[in-house]
Amino acid sequence: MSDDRSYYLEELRSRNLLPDSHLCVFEAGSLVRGWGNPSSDVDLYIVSEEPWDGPEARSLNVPLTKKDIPSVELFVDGMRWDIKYWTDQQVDEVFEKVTWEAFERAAMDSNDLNYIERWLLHRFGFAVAASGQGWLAERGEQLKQSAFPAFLISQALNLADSRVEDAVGQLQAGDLESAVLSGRAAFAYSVDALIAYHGEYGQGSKWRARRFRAAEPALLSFEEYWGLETMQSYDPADPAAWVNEVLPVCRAIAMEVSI
Amino acid sequence: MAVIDDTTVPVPKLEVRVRNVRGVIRIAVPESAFDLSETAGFIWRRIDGRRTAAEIGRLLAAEYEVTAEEAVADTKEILASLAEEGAIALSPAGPQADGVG
Repeated sequence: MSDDRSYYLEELRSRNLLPDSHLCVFEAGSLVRGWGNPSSDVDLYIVSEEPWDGPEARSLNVPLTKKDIPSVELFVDGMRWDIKYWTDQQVDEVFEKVTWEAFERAAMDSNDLNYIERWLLHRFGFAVAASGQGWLAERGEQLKQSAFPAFLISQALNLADSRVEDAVGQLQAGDLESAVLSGRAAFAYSVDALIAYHGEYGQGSKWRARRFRAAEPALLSFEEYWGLETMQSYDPADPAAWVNEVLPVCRAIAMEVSI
Repeated sequence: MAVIDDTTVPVPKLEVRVRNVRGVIRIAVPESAFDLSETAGFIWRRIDGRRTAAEIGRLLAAEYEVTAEEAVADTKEILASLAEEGAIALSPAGPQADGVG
């Protein structure tokens, strides 16, 4: 894909989907990362001073002063475009939730970002502007200075801890199948924390292998990660052995990642 | 306070919560949470259910350029404290499997 994204602007303008007052139009998502596939969408964000009031939009809810993100879907040359309209004020409010003061107040626990806000923030880490490069660069820098990574790491580690405790208890009770599932969950959360520590802020399984490769954590090689993720050493005759293999890795990750 | 000799093997308790807070190891056990000193953090990182107290002490000696005798004594003291807090288990002699069940 070309780095020239002026095509997006022309297409949006021709469909009356580009507000005149926009501050930035940026693309984020798997295509930008070079991870696209035939079913990938073009994920576009348009940020303006004024709210978008186009008639074709549906609303996504966010817990902000202005509580909706208008969203438009369309097909261009057979490819689905997913366009979200944010205001600059909404972006400010999202960042206000991930200051270091907010992190300390939350006692290194959770924040009240919903998934739409989390997506926005993590995408600032790799988004590419079609217009408003300066605005996007400032937001990218703001992300680096924010406590967003610390929130992600803390949340993931807290979830991992709970699953580790479950696995330990289940092993002690002889509930080996449950312990295996808890161990898998603990490992997934731990890996999310590890790769967030190394600058990959997405969460969940969809792109975890890609994100792991991009993060390149020294603590765990990709081969080691993949071996555990795909349970290559799992022996149905001895499920506890796999759990006892994976839980120390979770613990090592908790010691490695600094918050 | 637990008695620890050279061959005692400290064993991690996997259910103990651990955080690295800007380089300081923070341990949370059911009744309390506490931060480890730099020395205790060094020791904590080397508790793997296999190394003995003396082996960890010798690693400490090499890192901080103190005598092995002094480092092993410090290590035993810190391990005893960690065991007292419920953060680790102690096994009479290694090697031990690091796990549960």
